[in-house]
Amino acid sequence: MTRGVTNETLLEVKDLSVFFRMRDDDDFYAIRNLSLSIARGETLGVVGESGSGKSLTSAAIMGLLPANAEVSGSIRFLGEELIGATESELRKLRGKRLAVIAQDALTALNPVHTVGKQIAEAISVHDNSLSRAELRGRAVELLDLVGISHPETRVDSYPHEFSGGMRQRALIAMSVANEPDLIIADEPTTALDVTVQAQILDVLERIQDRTRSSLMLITHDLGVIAGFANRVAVMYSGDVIEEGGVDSVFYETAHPYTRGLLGSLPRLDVRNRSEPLYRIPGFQPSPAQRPDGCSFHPRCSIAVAGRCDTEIPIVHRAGPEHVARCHLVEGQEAN
Amino acid sequence: MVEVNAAAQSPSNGRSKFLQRFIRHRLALLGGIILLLLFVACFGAPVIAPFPKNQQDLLLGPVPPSLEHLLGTDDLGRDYFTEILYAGQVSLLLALSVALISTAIGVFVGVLAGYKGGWVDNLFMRVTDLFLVVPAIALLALALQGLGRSPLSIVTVLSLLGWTYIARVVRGQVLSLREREFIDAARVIGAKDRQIIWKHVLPNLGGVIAVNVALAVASAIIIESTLSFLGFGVQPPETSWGNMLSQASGLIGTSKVYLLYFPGLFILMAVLAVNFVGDGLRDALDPRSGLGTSRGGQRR
Repeated sequence: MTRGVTNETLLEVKDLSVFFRMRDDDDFYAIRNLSLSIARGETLGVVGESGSGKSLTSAAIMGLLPANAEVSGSIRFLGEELIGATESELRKLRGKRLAVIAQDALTALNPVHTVGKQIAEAISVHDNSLSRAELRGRAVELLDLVGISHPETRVDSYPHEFSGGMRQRALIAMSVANEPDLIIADEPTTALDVTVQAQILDVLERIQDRTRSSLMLITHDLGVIAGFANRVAVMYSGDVIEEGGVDSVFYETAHPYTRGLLGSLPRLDVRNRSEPLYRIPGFQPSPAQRPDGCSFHPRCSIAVAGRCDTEIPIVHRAGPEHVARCHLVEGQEAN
Repeated sequence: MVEVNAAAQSPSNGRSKFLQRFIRHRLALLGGIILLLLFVACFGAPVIAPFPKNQQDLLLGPVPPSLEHLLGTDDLGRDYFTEILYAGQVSLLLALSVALISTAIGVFVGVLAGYKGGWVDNLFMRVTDLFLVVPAIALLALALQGLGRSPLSIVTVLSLLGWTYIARVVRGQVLSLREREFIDAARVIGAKDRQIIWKHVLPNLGGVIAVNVALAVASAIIIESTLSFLGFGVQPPETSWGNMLSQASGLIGTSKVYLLYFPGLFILMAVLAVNFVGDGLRDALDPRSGLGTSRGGQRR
C-alpha cells in the first residue's frame, strides 16, 4: 500500500480559492480555501459529487482555468509557486513534470493524426532534438508500456481505429511520455466498462512503479480509491472536508458527509436486500448560494443548530494524518 | 464493426492512405483527370492548338464546326478551338490564383478570429461584415476602373473581395474546434498556441478548405465572366472564357449560337471538375472516411 511513498512533498496546495466574477453580480467561489498535499510517489484519491470542484482543482494546478476565473492562495509544485507564474513557465511544466490524463478518451485524441504522431508530439513539444525515427521508436515503447499489443503497427493507427480502452491507454502513454513527477488522472475510467477499468488502473499502477510518479486520482468511485490510493481527500462544495489515509478515512470516518457517501454504496453482503439504499437527503448547494456556516449542514443529520448553520468549521485533527472540517469532530485544531 | 475491419487492415502510412481514399472517389478521380487535361491543353496550346493564336482568316469568315476547324471559326475567321485553349490559360490561372489567395486570407482571418476570440474576433468579423455589405459588383467595377483591367489587377481585386465567406466558415469551425477536448489535451502537454493552430486546428479544417477552394475557383470563373460581360473583365486582345462568352452572347437567336455554347461548356467542365476534386479531397482528408465506400462510411 505504501510502497514508494516518500516524505518529500511534491505538491502543496494551500488556501486555494477560485472565484468566478459573473455578470449580474452572480459572483461565486467555486473553490473555497482548499488545501491538500501530495508526497512524491504517493497516490492521492480525490472523491466528491459532480460539481464539488474536483476537475476545477486540477485545472487550477495546471494553470488552465477559464479566463473569467480569479484564483488566490498558493500552489507549490517542486518548491515553485504556480499561482502567478507566467504562461511560458507553466507551459514548460505541463506535460513535462505535470501531466494530466484527460477525462474523456473518446474526444481527447485529434481525429486527423495517427496515435503515434500524437504521442510523439507530447515528447517533441518539450524536446525537439529527437529525429522522427527516434520519436516513433519512443511512441512504440510507450504503447507497449501501456499494454497495447503489436505497438509497432498500432502506432500508425488513427484514433477511430482504437477501442475506448485502447484510446485511454494511448492517452496515458501521451501523458507519461516525459516521465512526469505528478500525473493528474481526472476520472480516467468513467467512460469505460468495468473490466477495462481494472486494466487501465493496472497500467497506471505499473507506470507509477516504473517512473515513481505521484498520482492524483480524481474519481467518484470509492471502490477505486479503496484499492488504489494511499490517501484520500473528500470534496464537498468546493472544499476538502476530510482528508487522510485511505484506511483511516474509510474505517474511522470523521465527517458526516463521508459517512453518508460510504453508506450510500450498494453492498452485496447485506442480508436485507429489500431495504432501500441509503441516500444523503437534499442536494449539494450551488456554489452561488452556499448556506451560511458549514455548507453541508442542511443535509447533515447531526448538525447542531446555532453552530453548524452560522460558523464555518475549521479543520480538526481526527487522527494521525487524518483531518476533517467539521465542528463535531472531537480533537484539536489542525495547524 | 467498422473499427474491427479498419484495424484488421495493415496500417500503412498516412500519405498512401490519403491517395487510396482519393482514388476510391471515382468522381474526384474523373474530375482530376479532366482538370489535368484542361491544363495540359490550355498551357500546351502553342503545341496542341491547330492554328496560331489570333490568326485571322477574314475571307473564310464564320464557319460551322468541321474537321479542319473543330469548333468552327468566329466572325474574323479565327479557329474557335485555338481561341478557347488560349483563353483557358487566362481563365484557369486567374480562377486558381483567386481561389488560393482568397482562401489563404480567409483562413488566416478566420483562424485568428475564432481561436483568439475577444477583441481580435470582433475586429476581424466587423471588417468581414463591412466587406459583405458592400455590393461586390459595383466595388469591383470601381476598383478595376482605377487599377486597370489587366489579369493581375482582376486577381488582386477578386482575391481581396472574395475571402469573407471562407473567413466566416472557418471562424465558425474554429470556434467549435477550440472547445474540443483534444485542444485542451494539446495545451495540457505544454503545446504553444502556434503549435496548436498548426497541428491541431488547421488539419481539422482540411475538408472545409478543400471544398472552399473548389467553390472559389468556380465562382471566380463565373464572376470573371460577369465582369467581362459588363465590360470590366479581361480586355481584348487578351481573351478569357468569360469574355468569349460575352462576345458570343450577341449571337443568341442566330444560326451561330453554337459559338456561345463552347466557352460555356469549357467553363462548366472546369467548374464541375474542380468541385469533384474538392469533394474527393474533403473525403480523403478525413481519416475516418471508410476505404470501402466512395462516400465515407462512418462519421462521428
